[in-house]
Amino acid sequence: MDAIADKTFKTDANSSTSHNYDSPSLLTVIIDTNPVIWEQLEPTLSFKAMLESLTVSINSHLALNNANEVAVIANHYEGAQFLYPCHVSREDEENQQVNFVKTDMYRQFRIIDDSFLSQAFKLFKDDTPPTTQPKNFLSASLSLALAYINKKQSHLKSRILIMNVTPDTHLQYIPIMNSIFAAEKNHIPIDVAQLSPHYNSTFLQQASDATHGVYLQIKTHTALIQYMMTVFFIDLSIRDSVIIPGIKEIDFRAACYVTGDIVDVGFVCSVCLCILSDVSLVGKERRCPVCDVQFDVNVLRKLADRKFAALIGSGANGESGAVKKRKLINGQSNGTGTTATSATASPMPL
Amino acid sequence: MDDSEDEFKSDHEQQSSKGGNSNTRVTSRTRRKAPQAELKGTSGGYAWEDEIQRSWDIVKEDEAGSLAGIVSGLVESRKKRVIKNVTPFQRGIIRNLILVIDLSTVMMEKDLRPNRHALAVENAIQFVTEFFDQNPISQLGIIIMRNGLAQLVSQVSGSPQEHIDALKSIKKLEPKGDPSLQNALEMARGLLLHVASHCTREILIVFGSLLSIDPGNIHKTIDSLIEERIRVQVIGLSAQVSICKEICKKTNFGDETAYKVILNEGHFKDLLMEAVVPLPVNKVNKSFTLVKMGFPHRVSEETPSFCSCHSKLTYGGYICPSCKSKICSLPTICPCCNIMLILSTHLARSYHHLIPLKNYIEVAREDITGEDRGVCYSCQSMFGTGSRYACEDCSKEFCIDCDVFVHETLHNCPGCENT
Ligand SMILES: [Zn+2]
Ligand SMILES: [Zn+2]
Ligand SMILES: [Zn+2]
Ligand SMILES: [Zn+2]
Ligand SMILES: [Zn+2]
Repeated sequence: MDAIADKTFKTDANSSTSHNYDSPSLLTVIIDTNPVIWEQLEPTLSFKAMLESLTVSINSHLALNNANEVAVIANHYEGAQFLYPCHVSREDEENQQVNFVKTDMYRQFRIIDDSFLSQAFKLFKDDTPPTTQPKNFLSASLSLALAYINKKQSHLKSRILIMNVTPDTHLQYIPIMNSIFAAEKNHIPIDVAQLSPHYNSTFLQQASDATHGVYLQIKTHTALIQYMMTVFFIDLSIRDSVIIPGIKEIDFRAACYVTGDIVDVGFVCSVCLCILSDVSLVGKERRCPVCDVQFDVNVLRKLADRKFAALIGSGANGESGAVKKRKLINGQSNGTGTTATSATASPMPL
Repeated sequence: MDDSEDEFKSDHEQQSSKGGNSNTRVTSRTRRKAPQAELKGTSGGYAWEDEIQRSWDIVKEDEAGSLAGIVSGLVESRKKRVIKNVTPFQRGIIRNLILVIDLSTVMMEKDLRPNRHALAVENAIQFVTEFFDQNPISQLGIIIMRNGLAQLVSQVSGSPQEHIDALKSIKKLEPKGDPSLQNALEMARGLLLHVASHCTREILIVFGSLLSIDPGNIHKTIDSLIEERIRVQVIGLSAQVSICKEICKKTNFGDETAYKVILNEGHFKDLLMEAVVPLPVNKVNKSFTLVKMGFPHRVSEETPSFCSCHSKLTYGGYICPSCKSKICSLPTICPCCNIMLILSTHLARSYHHLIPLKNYIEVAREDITGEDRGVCYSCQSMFGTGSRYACEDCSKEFCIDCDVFVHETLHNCPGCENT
């Protein structure tokens, strides 16, 4: 009786489709369009050559299944934006004379290729190159991609491919991490093609590792299309049976919030979860440099070395009211200072 | 048997109404959302006070024969429930929680479908998944109350899979006898005894019965719970029980809201999911500290070697930075040197509790001019007749699906990230 009734209440929609190897999939590509970096890469790989390879790959993805879909997002220095699908006003459509692909191409390919190439072209045509250091909108691109996929995921399997050239600097840690977790939760693999031969991106390595995607640094640019077809365009359903290149070791170590040192054993504030490389960073007043809560003296004494233990020990016993507050909060507090109640130097409650 | 018949008929009804101009997608959506709305008491009261509602009553075509209006209405009713409190609190992020599930004869009752027991276990499995997703550095243990005894079914640990396996095994266990709150509380107290002071100590009880068979004086147990700063939350499945109310009030510093009684199936799940969010640190229950943690690095090996956690041969794993032993999975406590081992990404998972994303505000219909047929900022779909929600900071407009996704899963505003 219960067994029969049980079945009625199974609401897991994915379980029935997961083994259907023919089910259509959605490919979301995030292209890094930072003009400064592309200019540096120009001798070996031009932006145009990358777009050409990408177009071929996208077409082959569309050819695999009639119901396959693509979305293309540009991670531009002025902000992330959709290249396809894109709602163009009627006038723009008429003004556009340039045909980027041959008109006798298979219609389904032509519409998509034309649309995203013309949008990409517009990005570069409209703008004068930036004078200041361009910002990296990777978290915005990922957020847009994930929201788009979320809307589509009821009937499509999805994956994200990031064509990255920009280094990690200026990336916001928390938004990127939030995006990675959302992808992980919704079972969306993030594949990363690191096109710059000079550096690797720690964030993107972690992203592909957490979501079971592929991270590959492409050093031989002439073979870009080969990489795309053999590594990144392997359908999700056969990924388990194919050996795909992986990264052996990823640096999961953490950085201290105050000194910026990379640590493998650290001390974590139980309230705001900031990481400190040494107990003595809390100072004589035993306050968290990020969220300003006051720590329990007994626990600290156990953790700290003798010198510092003596310091906080004396601080707790004598010198009341007049203790000057030591400012440890600096620019690196990473926005985690949520409940920072401005603490007045008060006598120690002991 | 009635249930399965209902399901069949509702399917049939939707199939025939689909004959109009609505496409398959709308139909499948309706089917997915309908049960949820159906379960919610229409008068906002108890389920049994409501008129009988059949799933096919909800699906009615509008004048044009379309289901679109109904669908958006249903989605919207779901949306009402996700507006959360966004004031940042100091929360006890490192949690130790004992989940207590009633497995007495009353759990065989079929007032919740398919029965209380099956639903409670099903919901508990989802709770465990969600709990570890949002509280990656926390620990959980599971106890059942059956036949007057408390039984430990899953040891306190940080591994969701072990708990889920344990829950699946008790799914087959038949509820029996009466529950004993005191026995369960004492056992949970014992499990929480050694927990360090910077962690929270919590007990969450799913209580279906209206009585408790206790071997001694339960008030003594309550007193010792208060002494040890263990906070108890109870989810009642039938009606308010005075002793539960007292336990919750006394262990939560006079706060009575920790005791809740469910209205219907949907509400049951909501209450469990509320317990996933870490509790605000109470003024009385304050002990902040630094916790020593290791951030191991991952290795992959050509030849297998033994891991220190299961003594099995594995290719690669994580190396504890302080004692160099190999561990299979994280987060965990190193079996050799007892240091807590985590990835820095696990910490990042809890950040959204500390910095919640602002709720979007609904854009009033009057503000939408007739000509303005905008698209949702994040998913590029046309708004059409559906309502739209705007971010206060970046004033970008989002559709309801994206709003729910952004606040429940993503915790980033795509518009704000783009400025
Ligand atoms: Zn802190
Ligand atoms: Zn092991
Ligand atoms: Zn160790
Ligand atoms: Zn949307
Ligand atoms: Zn915003």
